[in-house]
Amino acid sequence: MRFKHGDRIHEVARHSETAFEVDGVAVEASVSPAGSSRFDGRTGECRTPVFVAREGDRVFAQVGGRSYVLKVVARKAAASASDSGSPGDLEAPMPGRVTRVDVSVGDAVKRGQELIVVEAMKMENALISPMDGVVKSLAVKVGDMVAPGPALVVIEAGS
Amino acid sequence: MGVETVAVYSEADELALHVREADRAVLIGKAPSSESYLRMERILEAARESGVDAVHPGYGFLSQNPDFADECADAGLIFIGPKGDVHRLMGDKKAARQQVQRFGVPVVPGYDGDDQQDESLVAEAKRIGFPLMIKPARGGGGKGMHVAHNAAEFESVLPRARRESQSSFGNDVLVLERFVQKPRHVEVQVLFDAHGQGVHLFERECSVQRRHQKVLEETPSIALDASQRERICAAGVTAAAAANYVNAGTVEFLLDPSGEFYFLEMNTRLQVEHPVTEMTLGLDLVRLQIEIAEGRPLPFSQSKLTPRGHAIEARLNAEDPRRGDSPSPGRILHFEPPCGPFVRCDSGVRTGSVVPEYYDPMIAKIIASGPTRDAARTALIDALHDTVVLGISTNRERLIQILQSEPFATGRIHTGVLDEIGPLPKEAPPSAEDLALIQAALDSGSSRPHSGVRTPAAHDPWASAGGWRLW
Repeated sequence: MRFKHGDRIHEVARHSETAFEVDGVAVEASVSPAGSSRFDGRTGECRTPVFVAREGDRVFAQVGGRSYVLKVVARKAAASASDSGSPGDLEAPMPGRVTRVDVSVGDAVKRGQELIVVEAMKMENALISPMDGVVKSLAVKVGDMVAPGPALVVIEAGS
Repeated sequence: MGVETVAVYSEADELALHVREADRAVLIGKAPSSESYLRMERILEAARESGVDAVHPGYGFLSQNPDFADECADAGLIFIGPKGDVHRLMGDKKAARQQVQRFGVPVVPGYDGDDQQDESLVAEAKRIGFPLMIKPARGGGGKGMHVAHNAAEFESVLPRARRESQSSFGNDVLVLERFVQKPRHVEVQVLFDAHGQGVHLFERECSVQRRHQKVLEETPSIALDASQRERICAAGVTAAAAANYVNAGTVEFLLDPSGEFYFLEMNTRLQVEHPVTEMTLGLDLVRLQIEIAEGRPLPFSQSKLTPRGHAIEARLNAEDPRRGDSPSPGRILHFEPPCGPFVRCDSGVRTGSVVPEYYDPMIAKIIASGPTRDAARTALIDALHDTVVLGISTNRERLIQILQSEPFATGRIHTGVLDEIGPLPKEAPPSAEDLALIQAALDSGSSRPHSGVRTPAAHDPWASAGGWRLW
């Protein structure tokens, strides 16, 4: 499988029960299930508790106290590592509710200006314009529930 | 105690642990707390329907609401906490400061006047001097608090402070206060029975804070020598007595680097961090709260109380420390609490729980104790190392980083110490061995969350969020 971790893609191939190749390097590893999402891992002489759960294309793992969130990426998608939209596409930082919308389509905005406020767990989080530009589109209104992913507001660079 | 329990819950908490652990649970409304946990009349109705004789308000929501305490009493229910008037007095920061000052308890210089116009607040801010703290007059728990370092920053943050105060506490009155540089947060646990007898259960230090919310709490505070401890604990008892306090409460102080301390506020409820006190004194504070509410006298006098060793609590939050601590609600695919000698885990979740976006991000409290501070500290690091939460981000690694940091290890902490410690470093790429183990585990197939988990109704954002698939 190919895993994306941060900005980097890692390629893991399995050649036999215990022989793996990770980014071109040979590694011996094996696990035995020890409960739901829980495994006893072994690499050479070293034994490590391994916890792994998958939800969609996301893999959550904790290996010997180190935690990782990995994204499973298809081989052709892996070629272009950048999967985010343009820098002017602003998405919700977390699931929450829109409590303020300070701009309308067509407004000129300044870099650093607060555009939209999303509230979750009693915390206000402002979406800030990354550049001077114009509001090209706006997908939300006050009261909307939002989640990370789609752009809530799109800023087009310009004078 | 052999007491049968009835819990209340909102639609978002259908799968919550408190619902499963109670003998019975009553649905009181929709997910937003204003439509469930803050609806007094609905909670009282649930209490009547269930035939309960007492109400424990916990430590959030209505726990410090004077009207709720009064209405419980009017409905013939025992409210496990102080009377409405006590909440009313101590919940009003201005009145509280004036009251304890009358009894000789020192307070921080500030402004708590009725004139709340922008110009007046700006003038007062300039008079008190910067840096300056802005707090909701009815607030608590660090919510809605801001620090301004100069007049321009003060004016720009004022509207937000008002809004947050209004949305969190239903009131936008603000108080201003001198911001003491590098203070420690030291608080005194008190316990008063209904017969006028009161004791303190010593202090807790909660100096490790992030945006005025506590992250790590411990007892004892290593900043106090024996005579300072005696003075601050006595001041705690005096402040509580000044309010005719009954039940468990906490008097919070700022301790400045010179050793002077100032009354901050009193929390008229049980606190999140009460377990560290329980660990060093061998007491059950909730049991004592219930006994006091039943009218029983305190079962011990001050001289019988001697703390043993050291205890530290870490708050495990559903948040992403590498993205500005932004909340990380969602489904927990696997939860593994730590265990071992001198380790306690008070958790609100388990495998399959959904952490709702509506409430506080805290999902568990992990507490470790030991004969010395360092024994407790290292035991807590080990416990956090063994804690597993898959499916959402948590501050687990951040807590370990803080516990291992030089300022915390040596005890040179203050409320701004997290800035000194710095952010959690960018995560290291996984080693080849770890990736091979993860691949092997995925191939073996049992890494899918078990399917026996029932999904709550249509409001569940995880059922509807695009791009999220559950296997």
